[in-house]
Amino acid sequence: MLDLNKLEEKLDIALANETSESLSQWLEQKRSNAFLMSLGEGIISSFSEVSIINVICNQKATFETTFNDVPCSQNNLMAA
Amino acid sequence: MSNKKFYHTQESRKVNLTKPIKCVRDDAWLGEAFYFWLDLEDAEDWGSASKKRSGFYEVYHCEIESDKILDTVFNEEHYYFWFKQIEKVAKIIMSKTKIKPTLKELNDYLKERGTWDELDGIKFQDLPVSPDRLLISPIKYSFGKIRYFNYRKRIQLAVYNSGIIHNFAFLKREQCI
Repeated sequence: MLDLNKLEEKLDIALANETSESLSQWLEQKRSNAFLMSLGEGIISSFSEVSIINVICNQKATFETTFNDVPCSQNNLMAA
Repeated sequence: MSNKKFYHTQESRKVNLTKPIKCVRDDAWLGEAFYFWLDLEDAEDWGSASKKRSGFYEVYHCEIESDKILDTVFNEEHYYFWFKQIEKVAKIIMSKTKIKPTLKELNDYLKERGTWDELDGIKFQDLPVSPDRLLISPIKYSFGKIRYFNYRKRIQLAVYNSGIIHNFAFLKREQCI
């Protein structure tokens, strides 16, 4: 069985120890990780200006848009 | 909580899964967890609407047993407890950071900073998005607007402790509509 009083006590202790800095840092880290996750799997590598120019000049970009990929509601977006 | 059957929806893959996939998406509203549907029709609707990349989705079934699940759907005490804690954390985060947190961030806070390690999962509900399965007529207003009353709950279980998931197995593969 879950001990709700114990859960609340643990949470209250954690919240009492929070400062603006600690909470801001935690949120910032969360959102930064979320952004990296949104990029998908892979490795982020640094690349030089020369390589950027090569990519821009040599790569043809094609964009395809299908409205079937667009989620139909906010509820669908929220549920995992 | 008694032994219950749940459903897990994923994109169709070449090889069937032997265990569920943890959802780490930013919009996973109960935080990083293994997500399950209580009703098969919601698992199917979710697959058809949101797992379209390959054109097919898969549904798996399993049994989940734990008395350490916060049941905000059917347990009144659990619901009001969870609601109080979520609002408490939200108010403190907003007052100290001036940032409004997401529901996922609040649930992550409870697990990570509140150290709710003993919590195996949270059961939560919203309303179905598809009116097709409703067995009642919508309300039709004179100016043309139609309003559906979703009398059925769409119930999800977010599992944090994979040890409570038993007999996970492939159930069906369907084409997205």
